[in-house]
Amino acid sequence: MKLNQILSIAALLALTTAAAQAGRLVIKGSDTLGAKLVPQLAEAFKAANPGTSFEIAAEGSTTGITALIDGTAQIGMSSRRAKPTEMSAASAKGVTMKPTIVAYDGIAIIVNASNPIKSLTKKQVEQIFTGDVTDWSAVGGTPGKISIYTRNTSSGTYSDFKEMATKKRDYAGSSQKMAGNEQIAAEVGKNKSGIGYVGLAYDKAPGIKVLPIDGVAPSQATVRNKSYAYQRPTFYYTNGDPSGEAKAFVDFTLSPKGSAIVSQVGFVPVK
Amino acid sequence: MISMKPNKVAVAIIAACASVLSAQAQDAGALVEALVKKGILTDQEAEEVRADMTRDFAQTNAGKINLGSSITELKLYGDFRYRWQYDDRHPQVDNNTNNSQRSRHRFRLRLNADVSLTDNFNAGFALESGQASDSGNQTFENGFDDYQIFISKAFLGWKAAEWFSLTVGKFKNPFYTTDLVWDSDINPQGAMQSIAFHKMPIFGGAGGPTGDSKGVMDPSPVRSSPNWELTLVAGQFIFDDNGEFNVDSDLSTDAYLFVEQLIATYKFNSDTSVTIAPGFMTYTAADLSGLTNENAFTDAGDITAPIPVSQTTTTRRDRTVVNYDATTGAITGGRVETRESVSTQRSQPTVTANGVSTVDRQTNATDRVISRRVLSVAQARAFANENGLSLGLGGGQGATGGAPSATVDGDSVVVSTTAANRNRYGAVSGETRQLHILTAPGDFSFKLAGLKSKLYWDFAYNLGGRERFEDIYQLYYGGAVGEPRTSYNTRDGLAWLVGFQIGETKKKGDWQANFNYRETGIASVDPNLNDSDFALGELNTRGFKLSLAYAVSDAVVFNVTGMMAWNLNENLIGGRATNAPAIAQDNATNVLQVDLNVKF
Repeated sequence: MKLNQILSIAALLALTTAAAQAGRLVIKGSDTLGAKLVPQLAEAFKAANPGTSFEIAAEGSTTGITALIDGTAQIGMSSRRAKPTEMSAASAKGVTMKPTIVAYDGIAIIVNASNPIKSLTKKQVEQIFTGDVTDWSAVGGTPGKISIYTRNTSSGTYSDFKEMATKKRDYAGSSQKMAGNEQIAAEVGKNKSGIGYVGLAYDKAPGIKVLPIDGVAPSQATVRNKSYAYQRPTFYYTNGDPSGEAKAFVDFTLSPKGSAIVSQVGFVPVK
Repeated sequence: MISMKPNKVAVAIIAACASVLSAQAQDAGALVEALVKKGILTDQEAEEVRADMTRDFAQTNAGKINLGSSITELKLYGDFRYRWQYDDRHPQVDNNTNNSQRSRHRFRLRLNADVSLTDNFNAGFALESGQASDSGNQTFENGFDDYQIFISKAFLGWKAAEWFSLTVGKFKNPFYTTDLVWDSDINPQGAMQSIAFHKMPIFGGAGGPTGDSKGVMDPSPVRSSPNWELTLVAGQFIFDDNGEFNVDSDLSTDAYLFVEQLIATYKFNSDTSVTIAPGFMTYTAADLSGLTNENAFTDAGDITAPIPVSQTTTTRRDRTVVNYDATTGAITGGRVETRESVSTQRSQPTVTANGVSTVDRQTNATDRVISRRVLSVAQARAFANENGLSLGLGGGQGATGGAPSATVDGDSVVVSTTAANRNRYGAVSGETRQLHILTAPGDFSFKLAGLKSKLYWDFAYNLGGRERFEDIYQLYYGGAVGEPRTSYNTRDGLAWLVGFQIGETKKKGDWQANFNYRETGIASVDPNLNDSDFALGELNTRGFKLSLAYAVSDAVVFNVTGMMAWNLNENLIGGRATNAPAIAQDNATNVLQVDLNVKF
């Protein structure tokens, strides 16, 4: 028997063991998806499918992909695509990473509500988040040092934003790394010099305002038509085509009822 | 007949392309994006294709490596060399056997990693077997012991403009040179700058801005390549570190080496060019310790070992007493100086029964003291001549204050003794003193019978050669009392080399031959930098080096090198020539090396 086959069987056994616990679905990964959207979807799913229980851990996309590879989750939530090294690790363990787009998201640039800045360009965003520009006066604001808030390194949004906004350049050394979207929104809401980024579902927090980028504000419409600069798909990763409870939950997410919840939370549904 | 929807066809085609071109997965990603925009693929289908491509890419070597985002390019490379070496040495000073032979099986392993970074930075490091700066060789020994690996390069560079670059750390030798002056294994440490004048916009070069934030140089207008190149390279190297709290200046001064070189190349056509590269290198005066290179000139100890001069007292009937004393060296304020004084005394002669005058120092002595600070023996001689004095110098190294001896010569009595003298630099003298070397390597490259060939040369002249010969290597006083064994000759401060090379070993079946002749004066170049193979790194040598190489495959080269060397100055015995740390202890040195080189 080839090693791959042995590993596949081992992975299958692990998943079966996890799933065998009477309709229990383990979902791990993205904070963007897991903090609001997936819990609400799970509640709705449970209402329609009594007896199903969920374990949801939203600690960043990287943790979701790792959990799927390790066989400790049936669904890995991710706001970014899996990296080649993750694909390689999955293959080595006999796991076939299959992405399913569950929603679209825009990454909104937020500043304190009292900040006089009304909009930014993509170039200015790059300059700010990489530290090329450190004072608000350099981008037309009131003089004062810019405080930058980013997600932490296990976040898919962290790497997605780096790819979309900073041409993969590293964030400024002075940037503060936060565990989730809500924490970033809260910090920017308290700090008059603050700037950060959050998913669309988190841009209504008190004390913050969203800045248009190159004249386009993030919204469901501009994300759907891809005219907003920082938009991206979000994913459920499964081991091959989903099955059982996982398939039922994925299907539910993409169903009209699920799409309504997606839209209601602030994401852009697939259909 | 099987029918497929257009998007299914597209997915299949892209998937097929991606599997073939998995290494170019990102390019295929752009294609997927374009198909999505045209509505041929849905987002979900595109994601599945991307996942397939990523999965395939992940199976490639590149896909298994996760690099930092600041790295735009990583280059890994290295080489391994298996060597059998035979040394045949014939020492100048009898060692009972008067010759020695040795054969060794050795290897050298080098692993390099160079990275290009954003914002025009670059960095790298190298790991190498063997600690010596001038050799990565490790001799197979000690049973089946394993061997250590050392850091041979670690550097950070910045290309501020197309024509200007700066590097700090420990890096590849940036100078155009030969192994006459620099062993090719040496990676200097410190800082270097390179200014390529031919790349400056003012001279028609690309020059231009420093590039964008991704480390990619802005495209420059297409210009025809200039047929000349002119580059100034400067290095400020940290050769050795000393403790600043030592009292002596040479023990407390760090050894720095400063090198400047102007490299000029003129291309007659694509195959023919001439290069000349005049330069200058100079050290701060410092003590060296702990070097592990072949034939290291280090820990030479101070030069308090007495270098005798004779004190001569001559008494004539008309009362003259001459006392020459070169013993009074002093260290003042950290600066070493030598002070010599000459004095005369007048006294009444006493005539004895046999008519020979003797000195009565106690009576009627009229002293006349003449003194002058002198900085060299030559100055002392001149002083003696001006005052009608005779001055005798000599004595073997290590002899001190020997018992006076007297001879009767006509109407004079000559009483001679020896007394300790000091080197002009005082109690401690740094091994890097008096190395101020002019260099002028060059080559004339051309094709001969369709093979790349070149006539090359090198030249080095130490402006401090005489002082290094006399005082650092302590060679002037090497002879018997009053009779120096040898004196400095211009060729002792001069080194030169001329050679011819034909062929190259880039691909299987290639061959190369290389031949050169060189003469290396003992005081011409730094014994810690010159080739560690030719004469096993010794100075005061002349001889031939012949190398023949054949490429067994594109990556494997078989190479045989023979070197025959013998004395340039055949009577250079004593001082640091033959006393530890000796730098010229052999009459003849023959070395044979048989190598198998693998590049990867």
